[in-house]
Amino acid sequence: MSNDIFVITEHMDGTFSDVSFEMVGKSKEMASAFGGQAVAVVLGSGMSAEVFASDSTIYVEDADLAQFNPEAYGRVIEALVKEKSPRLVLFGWTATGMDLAAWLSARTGKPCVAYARDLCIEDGALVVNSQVYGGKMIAEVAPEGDMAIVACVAGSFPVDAGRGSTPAMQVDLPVSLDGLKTKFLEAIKPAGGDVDITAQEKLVSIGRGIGGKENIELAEELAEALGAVVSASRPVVDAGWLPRTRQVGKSGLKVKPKLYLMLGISGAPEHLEGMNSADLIIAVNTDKKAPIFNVAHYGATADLFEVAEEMLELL
Amino acid sequence: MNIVVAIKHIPSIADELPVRGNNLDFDSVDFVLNEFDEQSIEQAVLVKEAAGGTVTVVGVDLIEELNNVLHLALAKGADKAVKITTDESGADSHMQAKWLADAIKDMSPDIIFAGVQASNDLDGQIGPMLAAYLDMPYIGGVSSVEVTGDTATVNKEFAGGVGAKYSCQTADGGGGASCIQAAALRADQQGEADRADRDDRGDQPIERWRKRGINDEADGSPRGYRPCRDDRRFVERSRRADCGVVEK
Repeated sequence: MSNDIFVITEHMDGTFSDVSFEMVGKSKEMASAFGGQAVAVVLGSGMSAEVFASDSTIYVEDADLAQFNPEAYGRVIEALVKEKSPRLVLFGWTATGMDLAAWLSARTGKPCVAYARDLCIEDGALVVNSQVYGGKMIAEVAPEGDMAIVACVAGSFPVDAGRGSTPAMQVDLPVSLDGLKTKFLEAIKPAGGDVDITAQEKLVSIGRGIGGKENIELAEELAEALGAVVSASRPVVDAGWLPRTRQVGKSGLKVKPKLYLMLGISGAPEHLEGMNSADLIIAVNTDKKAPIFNVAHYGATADLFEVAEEMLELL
Repeated sequence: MNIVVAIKHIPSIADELPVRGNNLDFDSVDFVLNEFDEQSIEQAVLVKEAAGGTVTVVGVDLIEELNNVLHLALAKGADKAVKITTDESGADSHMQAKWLADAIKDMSPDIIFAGVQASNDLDGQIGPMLAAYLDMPYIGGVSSVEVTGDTATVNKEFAGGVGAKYSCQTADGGGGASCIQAAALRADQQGEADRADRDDRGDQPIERWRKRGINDEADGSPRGYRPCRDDRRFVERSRRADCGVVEK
């Protein structure tokens, strides 16, 4: 076994995601405390893998790894991890990492901590802070054993600390990829034609608290009065009340407006990922323990309809 | 086609989350069905109606209140409901996934659905763990599923409207490859299923499976929870110090 930290990087269309750099930066900070190396692990085909500030970079190249395929990626990562026995394996808590982290844990019998917001080493032991119950609780977890798997929420660490030009060491496929039952068929591009919420200076963002499609109009009115556009959290879009082009968060878009006015959004970690760098965040929610009040600059524990109507009168 | 849906009963986050010792006080919280599991039940029923077969819903009964959830699943179009009983109200994802895998492997599933995530997945989600324990392929974050012959074609969501289409072999009677998918069903597919003949099915009997105890721990749980500085595993979050909150 080694004391290395493996960072399982992710990419799409040849570009690495921010969370990959974030985790590399974090692992650099921690590796020396473990007495090991920060190792970036890249799976792909035709990738320029020399973009990380890691101590070393492992690049597994194969045509079957060109696009993300949970079965192929899982097989390769399991084989690498079993061969090299790192102390810690970091995934993003993303559409990619979520397919792999818990799976790897069940395959290897090593503990897994999801929803991680921070990691540190205290008295030689790894401690992970995990944001559970929609961000309402923080769990401090000290995983047992000689290896831990941690899935990190994107946006938890600085991106730039992970950028660099460490040479990549190309290694042979550690396992056969014959007989895959899962096949990547094609990419699906986002539907266009709607306003681009990432280009807006002001957003009025609505959540489950809006109650129903019939109340969207009120948000639209308020947005118009403010010179803003309406965006939303996932449940509103899943319910079909607004199109997907308006969705902010992990499975939606990342926005950085000057004003982000939130009506009835509790602030689950998945939503915060998409908006926590907005310049001014104002939250209205009836639940005074809603996690959004940890990140909002101003907040009101009040009925969103009363606030919206009052604001409309003032405007 | 033999379709199985694995569900998770979780503490409701709509209310206060009381703490006892270093965990939630599970006796004082309301439990609800994980919202992503509601969507995967719906997705499973849509697949059954399009491709034929039966839907079996299975979950771990943590607080002896799972019957309501299972009856709802039957009313939505599931054909059979199974609950696994336990005294462990705080059973984590690994424990539940192990028990579910034991129960499901005897059901010879062609395809399994599970919610993509749950708010209490501290040790990871049940779907990928089931896939590992049952040695089946897994695709998560799936928003639509179509089954033709022994192939499932699914759309997986990444971010910002970007996604990808995958195909995955199912077993279809052969007992070989199967496929597990975590569905996050979108509204545009919801409600398409024909709801005829479903109304009177809520009283169908629920099958009860083996009882499990505390000693049946699964590997991979992040055991050894360390007492936090204030001696609690879960700590309530404090407000951002500079947040000017007006309480009404």
